[in-house]
Amino acid sequence: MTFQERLQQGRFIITSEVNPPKGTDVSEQIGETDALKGRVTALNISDGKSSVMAMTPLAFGHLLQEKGFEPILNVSCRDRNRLALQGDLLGAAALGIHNILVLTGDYASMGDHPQTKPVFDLDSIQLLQAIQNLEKGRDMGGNELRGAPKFFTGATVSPTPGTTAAFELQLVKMEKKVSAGAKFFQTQPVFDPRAFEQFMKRAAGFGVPILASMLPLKSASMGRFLNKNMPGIFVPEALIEEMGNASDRVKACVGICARIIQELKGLCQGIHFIPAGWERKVPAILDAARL
Amino acid sequence: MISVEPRKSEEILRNLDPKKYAFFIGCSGWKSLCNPGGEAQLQRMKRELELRGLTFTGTLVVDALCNKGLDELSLLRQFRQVIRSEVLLVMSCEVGVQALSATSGRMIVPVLHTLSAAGFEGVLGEKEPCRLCGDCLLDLTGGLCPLYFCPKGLLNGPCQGAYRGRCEVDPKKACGWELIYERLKAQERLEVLKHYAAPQDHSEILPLIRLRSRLVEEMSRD
Repeated sequence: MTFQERLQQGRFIITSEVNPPKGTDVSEQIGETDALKGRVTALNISDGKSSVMAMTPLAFGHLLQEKGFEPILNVSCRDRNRLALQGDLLGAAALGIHNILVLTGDYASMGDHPQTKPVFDLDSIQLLQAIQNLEKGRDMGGNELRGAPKFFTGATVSPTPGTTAAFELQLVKMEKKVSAGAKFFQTQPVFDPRAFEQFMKRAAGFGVPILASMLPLKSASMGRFLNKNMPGIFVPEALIEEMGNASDRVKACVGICARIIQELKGLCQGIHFIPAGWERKVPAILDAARL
Repeated sequence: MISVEPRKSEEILRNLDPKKYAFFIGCSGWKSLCNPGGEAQLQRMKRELELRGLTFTGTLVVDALCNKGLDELSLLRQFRQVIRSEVLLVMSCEVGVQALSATSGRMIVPVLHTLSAAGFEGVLGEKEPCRLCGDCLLDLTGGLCPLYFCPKGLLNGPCQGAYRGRCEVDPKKACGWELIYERLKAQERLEVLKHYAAPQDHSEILPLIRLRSRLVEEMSRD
């Protein structure tokens, strides 16, 4: 059963993110994803994550598809103008990649090519609109397509962006994304299920499935780093302390993740892992969470 | 020299309830540096907008709307008419629109597009940034330009990169969209945020093309 079918049937879904390699050697990344086989419904292929140059997710997603995975292609507005975005989307459809996650994209200065020209010709909502038009057989210029693609398109949302203004703006933008055709959402990493619950009280009304993201907390210092540097991520002090006191970091991390998942299970329709190198620990987390 | 051109009436009215009362304030320019139209242009545009149902509580043309001190004096001078209105229509370059927006804090709608603002930024040295896109959105964003205040130039709301209200690109600065949110909230106009802003028309947005064609036209006439 596909990602779309499972989601539409209301099943609890697990997805995970993989990052294409910097270079042509895909063996390491493919090896890491082997651990996820049979445990996740679909894999998000990141698109120049954190503005670090890497292989195009379209090619890497195709390779993973050949390995039996169902890809969700991340499409960022940072690097391509409307011609390139539409062209890649047609290419994805031709290769049988139908799941799309639309993102604005990190700013170029955050990555390893800070000198580049940031594009942002479209924003995420305009791209969602463009995808709807492609599905109707028209490009953004109104020209007819020979063969229209069919996509299952999602978007992202930040459930705890930090300020009241940002929170309200996230909800407004989420509503606009739904109107523009977003059929599912994947969130920024969640560490505090209570805060997430507050978000869900407002977001559940949109009637679109939401997958909460899970970033395994590898250490206390990682928690402090995230709190200090990462927008929209708040790691409760208690978790940082728990990791700091742990004699077995992996065991503690698995325990924390499983606990958070248990609490999130009743609140949303799935979990999206951002393993950040700990792909091989994901099955243990899922076992501990009895998923 | 500041170069401007009128927006289409439907564009001016796109987010404006025609039952609203408007005060129309125009700029007569500053010496020979700029010419946004003055009284004649203002009356022409007023008549056209009245035909489409808009009611005006009054009009005023002042020198250099980009001067915030003059803006305050002007608003005071016709205080009653201004206070009776629900929206300020502004006929000036975007520098003046943003200055008046900042001074008045009220809902503003620009009636001109600004194509070039080189060489002159207000007599008090106050800077109101304009990216000269030729496709003005200030009526939808509380008078703050997202092309300037958001480094990604996002037109439909913020990204998810702001950290405690600070921009991910430059943490010394506030997230532009949070500024827009606060301005619209103060104006009780948050519903404007739901407006879908279509992708920019870069064929329109390259003001140089239009400026060039205008210059060539003028030269051909000679």
